[in-house]
Amino acid sequence: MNSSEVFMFLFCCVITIGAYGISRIMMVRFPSPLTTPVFFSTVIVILIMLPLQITLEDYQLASDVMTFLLGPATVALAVPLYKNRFIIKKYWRAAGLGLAVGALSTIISAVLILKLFQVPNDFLVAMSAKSVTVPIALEIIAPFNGNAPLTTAFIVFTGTMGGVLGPWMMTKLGILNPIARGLCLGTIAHGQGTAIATMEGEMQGAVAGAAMGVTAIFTSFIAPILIPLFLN
Amino acid sequence: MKGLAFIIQIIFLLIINQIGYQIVHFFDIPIPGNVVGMLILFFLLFTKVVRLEWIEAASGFLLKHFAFFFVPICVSLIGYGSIFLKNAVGFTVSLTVSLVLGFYVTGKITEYTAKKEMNTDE
Repeated sequence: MNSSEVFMFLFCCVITIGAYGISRIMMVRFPSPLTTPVFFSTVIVILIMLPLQITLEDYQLASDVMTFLLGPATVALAVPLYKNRFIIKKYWRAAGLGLAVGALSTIISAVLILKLFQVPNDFLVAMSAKSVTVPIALEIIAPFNGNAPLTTAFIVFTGTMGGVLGPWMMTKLGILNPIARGLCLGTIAHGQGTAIATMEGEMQGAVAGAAMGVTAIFTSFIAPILIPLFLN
Repeated sequence: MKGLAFIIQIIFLLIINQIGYQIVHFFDIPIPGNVVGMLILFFLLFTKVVRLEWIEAASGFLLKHFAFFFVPICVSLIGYGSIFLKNAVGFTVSLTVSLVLGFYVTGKITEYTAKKEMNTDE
């Protein structure tokens, strides 16, 4: 590595970590879908890269280093699952049925609707993992050559919309049971939904956290069977 | 000392993650390696082979900053502007309809089943 490559690597790390740090402050001061860390930080980083003509190739090394801990972070999702094991045990029948049918219906409807618009196969694969937390979704779509950046965008969109509109939507639809509300947020809107559920109440947050983990496991089992059926 | 414990915890989680990927690779199963890693850790916690306190510092830190890891991945959307513009209608309709349907189906089924179970309990 020459010195300009080292400089580029450090610069990319600094702008990304800096943008994330600012987004965490913004999220608290001005809570809105636009200040959620992923959306806000990504926009800042891209707005710095574009005028300076920094390419994705330049950014790649920094990206690889910064996402190195994503694997252990995903494994750590077992901790909230373990902490909520009593809730899982108590409500597994109602929650399990709702989760399974709900996850299936959101995946199948999303992919079939997108198929009507005659998009390439890698878009359809990307859409099939849109309700799963990012690191697991990327692994689910990899064997089918899904489009990784696109799936991340679909997931962030789903999480943001689900988190922002979810509570209002559930009230309109007459879903008032706190367990059902937490389950919806975790199953459909993964981590971002879980964050909102935690604000609604302890029970909702616990159920959502467990639902997010179980949905990821459930989808990773059914997606390999389901995805080939969708493709042309 | 605290810093050292933290690093050891991270290394432990990295090893579990690696074991997950090795198992998937070895048995050639179509499930993500990180999911298997997560299930292994859950099993270890459940059987009390691993105590929650042993990994709480590292797992708490990683989960608190979980969103950070998606930023570099999302940055690679640079250059996708035209794809989004071209497919804006399809993406929006698909994501919105499936979101509402997902909430509706998940919520209604859970509420209905929970109510029925409560009635049979009485």
